[in-house]
Amino acid sequence: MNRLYLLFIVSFMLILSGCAYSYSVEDRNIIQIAGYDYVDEDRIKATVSIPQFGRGEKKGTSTELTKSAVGKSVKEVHEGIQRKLSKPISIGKLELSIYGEELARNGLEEIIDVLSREPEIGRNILLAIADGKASDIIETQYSKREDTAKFVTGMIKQNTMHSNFPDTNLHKFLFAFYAQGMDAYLPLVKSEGDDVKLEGIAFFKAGKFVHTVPFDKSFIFKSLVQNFKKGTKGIDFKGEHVVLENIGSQVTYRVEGTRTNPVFKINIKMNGFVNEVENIHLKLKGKVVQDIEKEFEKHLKRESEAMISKFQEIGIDPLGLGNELKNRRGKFSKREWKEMYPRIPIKIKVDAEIIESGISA
Amino acid sequence: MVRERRSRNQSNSNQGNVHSFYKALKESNDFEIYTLTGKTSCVISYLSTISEIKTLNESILPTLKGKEFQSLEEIKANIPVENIRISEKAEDIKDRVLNGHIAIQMSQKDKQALLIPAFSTKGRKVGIPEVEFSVVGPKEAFVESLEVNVNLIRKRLHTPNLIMKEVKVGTVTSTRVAVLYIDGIANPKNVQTVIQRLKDIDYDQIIDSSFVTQMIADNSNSPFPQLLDTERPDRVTEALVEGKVSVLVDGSPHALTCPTTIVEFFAASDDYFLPWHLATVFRLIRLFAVIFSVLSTPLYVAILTHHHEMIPEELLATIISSRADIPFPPILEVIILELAIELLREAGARLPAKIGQTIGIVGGIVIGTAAVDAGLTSNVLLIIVALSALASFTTPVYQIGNTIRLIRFPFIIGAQMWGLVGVSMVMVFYIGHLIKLTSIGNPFFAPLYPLRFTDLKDAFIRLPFDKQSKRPVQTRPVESTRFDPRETNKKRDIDE
Repeated sequence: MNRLYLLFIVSFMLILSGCAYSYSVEDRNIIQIAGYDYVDEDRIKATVSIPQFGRGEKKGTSTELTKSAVGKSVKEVHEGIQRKLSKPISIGKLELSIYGEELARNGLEEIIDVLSREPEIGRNILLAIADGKASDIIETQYSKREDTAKFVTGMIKQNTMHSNFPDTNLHKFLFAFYAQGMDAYLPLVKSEGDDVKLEGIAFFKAGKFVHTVPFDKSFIFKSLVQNFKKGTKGIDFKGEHVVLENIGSQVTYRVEGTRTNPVFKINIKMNGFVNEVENIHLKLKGKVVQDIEKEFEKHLKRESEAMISKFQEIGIDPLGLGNELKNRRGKFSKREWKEMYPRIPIKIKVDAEIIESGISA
Repeated sequence: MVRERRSRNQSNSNQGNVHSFYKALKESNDFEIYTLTGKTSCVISYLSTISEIKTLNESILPTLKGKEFQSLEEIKANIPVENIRISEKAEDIKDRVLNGHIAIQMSQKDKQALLIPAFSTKGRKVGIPEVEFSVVGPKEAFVESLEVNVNLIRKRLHTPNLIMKEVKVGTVTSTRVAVLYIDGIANPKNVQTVIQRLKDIDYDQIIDSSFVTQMIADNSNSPFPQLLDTERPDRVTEALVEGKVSVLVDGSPHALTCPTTIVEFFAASDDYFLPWHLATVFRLIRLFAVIFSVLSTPLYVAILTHHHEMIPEELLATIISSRADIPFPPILEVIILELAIELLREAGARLPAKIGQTIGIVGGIVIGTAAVDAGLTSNVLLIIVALSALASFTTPVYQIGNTIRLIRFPFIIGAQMWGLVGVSMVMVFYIGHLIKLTSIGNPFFAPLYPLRFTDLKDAFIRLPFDKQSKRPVQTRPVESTRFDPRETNKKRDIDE
């Protein structure tokens, strides 16, 4: 009896597996980049780029097909795109999702909902805001060897890993979006003719794009939100321009005071080396190095204080201070925090150390 | 196959009657029987094809012709050959004549016969191992003669405790099967089990040791061999010293050792001839090769049909452009190529060595490239299939290589039906089966399940000899200590 039962189960499993649709990888349109733009209050326009792989072609020279459609929801526009294609689209390999500025200013809640529900999408994909229209960024071909998706994704990733740009991805965005006392930020990209570039950081307030910080200030922001190891910052020192390369910075947040009357202390500890000095006769020894350190500390402190006070003014909290307070003091009230946030004292202490100044010094 | 032996009426011999057996033998042209005349009158009978005529000519006939003998005892005392015996039992006489003894009777009617051993050994000389060749280490391999094989083992094991028990198996062939073990190390329970199972075999012929493997295996429906077969006497010696039992079959150049575990099939004799770190690395590479060989094509099918999200960005273009325009889904593509490889193997195994090479070139290069050029298979898959075929040859024991060839196919089918879930389901079935499997009553999946922590010293890694102070627990040896590690590690004075 037991065996018969087992036989039934196994044979049903075998038979039922025939009901599942399966497409081999080459029978799908694999979308790696998708952009969404504002059409009117109800409708959005999606633009996708589909790489076309041909047999025997040299890798990297794949042609691309750009399709767009207008619809009320993300799923509907995808359907609209599918109507124009020979193979089903698959968003499992999506790497970058770009939102037009206008759409972002009107709120991304609906699209975020799709992203957080879709099981096919990985949590480490990139999101970005287009300064202008997202479709402009997708429709342009930037390189002959790389397709648009690879190029734009690569641009954001390499600036995050090797330069001054802070880490962003879907997971971090969703966390900041859903966490209490925290606001999200995303990269802001801009297309200029045949070029695309990182314009800065786009800040959100409850799903709406409200504020930007230009790319040259992203070093400051990055040193405030995360530990990192690579990045360069130039400062003015006694009429010279000195460039420091960060080779390791740690940031720690301390909450002092009570729940209703907190004081935040942000400590940044940074090790760096002097990379480039305008005046080659400047001897980088002893006191000069200490002076540069002091100047650098002052500069970083001033800039970050200015940046944070701007955040407080607008009422956004990309550093997640509210979340920090909630974790340390408990009994968090969103409303109270909103009222209190612009007045909270945030003290920044920068401890910079130059540990190397090059071979010839 | 292991069954109570039924007593059956054997057609050629009637109990207690020598003559009826002689009558059967007389039909054969190589059976010689004649009455010697001269000073002594007696009947000499032997099988000319397996008895040494030299013994007859040089030792027996001169003695018989030189003197007059009245009884068999008298002849026995005078013939300069060892191990002569007088027997009255028809069964005994029959057995010995069939094994090359020369029988002498005073008259045809006489029940009593004098049996002189004159077995002529003809066959292959001891050669180098072909299946389990190793660059370093001994290069002797078993041959088809039981005596030679036991000799090869005994000359490596100078201990009186090496016991050899002989069992006759096969109702027609009556093949000699020897069970070897070291008394005082091997667990008597294992020895008893093996002997009992051999005795219980009820089959007409035993041609090779693989017959015995299949007949005395705990689960004969399993694709996994539960007795390790080897053609290397040094490997058998090693196993005997570890407390295992070895079975040698007359006429088979492969010895069996048991109880065994699955990890033993991936251990080569080279592992013990090389320094331990090298041996460990090579053993791990071999294990990896086996896993790769079993799982690479199923994963290809699963990922391409069900989980294309898993393909890395960099590989996507390569895989898609190699797959583009191929008319078959991945599953058919894989099955076609796997079958092609199996065909090549089968063809290569049956053909003489020189033609085998041609087959390799035709199959590997011509068919492979042509299939890719014609757009029937993708070149990525061709690489994967070729690599997994190559990887399956890294197993040091030939038998498990065949198992690996087979167990890949359920994985491929599972992968097509349920993707990675299917692959893991098939894996669960196999692991469940392996956990249940026993070898002569001892767990086959040890040292992983049941976890024998001390046996891991020589499973996936091989620790140096000074860490191998205990024999494997898995065989339950009577004496489990090889040496006392405390004594070894003691610091000694230089004058001592």
